[in-house]
Amino acid sequence: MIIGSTSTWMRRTACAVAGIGSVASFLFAAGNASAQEADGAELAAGKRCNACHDMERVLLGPPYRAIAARHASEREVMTEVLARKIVHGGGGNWGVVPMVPNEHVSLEEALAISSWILSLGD
Amino acid sequence: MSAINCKSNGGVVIAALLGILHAMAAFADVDVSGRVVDLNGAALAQAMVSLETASSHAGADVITVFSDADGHFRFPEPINGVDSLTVRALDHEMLRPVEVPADGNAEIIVVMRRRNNQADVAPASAWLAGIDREDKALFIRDCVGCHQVPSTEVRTYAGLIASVPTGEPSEARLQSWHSIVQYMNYISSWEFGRANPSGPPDPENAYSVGSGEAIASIMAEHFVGAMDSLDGYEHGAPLIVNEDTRILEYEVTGTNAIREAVLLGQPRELWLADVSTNRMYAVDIASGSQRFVEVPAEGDMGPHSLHRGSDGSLWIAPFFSSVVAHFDPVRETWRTWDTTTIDGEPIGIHDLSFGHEHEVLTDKQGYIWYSDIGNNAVGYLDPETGAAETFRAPEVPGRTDRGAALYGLVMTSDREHIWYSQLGLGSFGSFNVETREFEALVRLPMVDSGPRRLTITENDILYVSLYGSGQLVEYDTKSNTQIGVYDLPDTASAPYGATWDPVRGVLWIATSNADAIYRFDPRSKTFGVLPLPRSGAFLRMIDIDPQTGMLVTSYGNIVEFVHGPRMALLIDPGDDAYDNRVADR
Repeated sequence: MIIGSTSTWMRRTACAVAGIGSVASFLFAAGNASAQEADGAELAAGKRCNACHDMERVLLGPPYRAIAARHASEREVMTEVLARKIVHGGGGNWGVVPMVPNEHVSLEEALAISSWILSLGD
Repeated sequence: MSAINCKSNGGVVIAALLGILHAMAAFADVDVSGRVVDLNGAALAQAMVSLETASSHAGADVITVFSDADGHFRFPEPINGVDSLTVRALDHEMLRPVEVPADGNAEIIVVMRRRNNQADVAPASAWLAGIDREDKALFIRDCVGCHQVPSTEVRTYAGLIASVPTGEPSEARLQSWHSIVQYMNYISSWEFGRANPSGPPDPENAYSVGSGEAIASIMAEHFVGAMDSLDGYEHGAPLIVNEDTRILEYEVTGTNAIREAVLLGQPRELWLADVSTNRMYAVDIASGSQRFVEVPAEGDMGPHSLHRGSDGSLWIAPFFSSVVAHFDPVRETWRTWDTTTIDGEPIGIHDLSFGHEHEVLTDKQGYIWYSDIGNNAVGYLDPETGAAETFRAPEVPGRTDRGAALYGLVMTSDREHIWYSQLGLGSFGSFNVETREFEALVRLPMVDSGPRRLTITENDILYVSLYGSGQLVEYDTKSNTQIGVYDLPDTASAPYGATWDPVRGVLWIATSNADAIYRFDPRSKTFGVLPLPRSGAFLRMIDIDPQTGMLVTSYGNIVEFVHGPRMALLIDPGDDAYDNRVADR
């Protein structure tokens, strides 16, 4: 697997270790639900979710609030389900147009986004 | 200002510790060679053998060679650590993975079997073979400008469409691909608007591509089912690789949108334009080490088109602003010009005037001429005073309803004429820099033929690569006559640019959609194919290093979330054309 061509093995590996540290920090932060939801809002904007979804309007996909309302009674399981749908795409629940896969979003990031979306029904 | 990629203080401590560990577990150099055979033991010639180096190896991340007529291959230099070795061919696949010994001399036998499904090895262009020529030109012109189509992501989405239960699959496909067109319009609006101070685009106003309906229809008709099976794709012309051909790939780490590459300085470094930042990356080709320097420009400049100067310097045209930058790689000094028209309007510079050696060529007054993609104009910059002036191109009869996108630019050897292309209008023409008048205008038969970057020979023969229609125009600028229009080996290859190679006397054509470089020999009017070792090999320009004759290029996927490779390439075609040339630069 190509891990990048920085100057030396040392520099590459140091970068990788620093990266692992960043992931660990992120996972630690993700333990806090409200912080996760706040991150989710930012992530949704940064990962271009707004191309298809709006808070209230129907764009290419359903509004965030409509998703939260539909899944209000099954929030725990749907946090996980929606996260996987964000990453891998899928369709059939809101019409015949599938959602695009978003492989540039990690599962951890997707969990933060889905948690934030479902919190909109609170 | 410069920096290395990993620059935290903590990283230094970790690096020191890891250095000790590294010394304890160092790889030994290994000479890698072997043979590629089929299930009957027969030699497979021109098979592509790629070796991914371990992080311990100083140099390229991936090295590719090709087998000879007897199936033999050899990597010319010892490798200090091998991650993997793979062999690729359109019609064969590896029977099983091979392991490379950690030290000593590795003689490897790679057994290949006939491939039944090319879906994972054929380029994106292969999936467009069944589309009508005019539709294909429109589709490529509109969709392949930023990344390959259909990419793996597009084919995955086709599978998702097919998996949704519906009684009207045709209508569902149309709706779904229409949504994708809209989605990509938003993404490209976001990407192209990075420098926009008003922030991200409004999703409801980003869906503005005029041909979106037609594009969605083409996709609905031709991107059907899971798109996971393909056969019958061929390169379309003989391969030109041999046992001496070598391709070096250097990955650029971190988030970036590498666009173009050139070799500069002593020792040679790869200089790469990252359009997503104001950075120029420098890669030491011997060690593989990377650093970057910031272009000293206010706001987002987005280094984009690169042009070597005849003095070994570098000229950089912008993507987001009107700033032209000049860089001296020896002294690492900069000079910039923030250009505007006489009326104070911003200039959308795409190309500076290339001469036949693919270097910036000035007119007799020392002015650098440019193409202005934003104003359908050509113009000049006086580097002494910073003065700039633009001249709007005349209308192209019958093609006034579209954006012109005046794109490529070259200068004739007498330094009196420039030739330009108009990507949006399917046309090219000339301008006299002394009389300041537009002269020739050539309207190509197809409005979506897509003329992009140009090149010119020492005898002022102009070559225009037609991105949409997959053709090459050969045009004599002295007599204003068209010599020929040639179909490329794959007309869905999206030829972005052509570069004249004055020593070999051939043309190198960069494709965006075919994972290949084409060579055109104007003496025989024939093509050859140099296949590249990577899917998503979205090429833009090819430069020819005047010292070594190496082809220098990069994978230029522009959209941030498209998973194309971000790598620069050095390619030795495996001939001795430059061996006797005095390295006097």
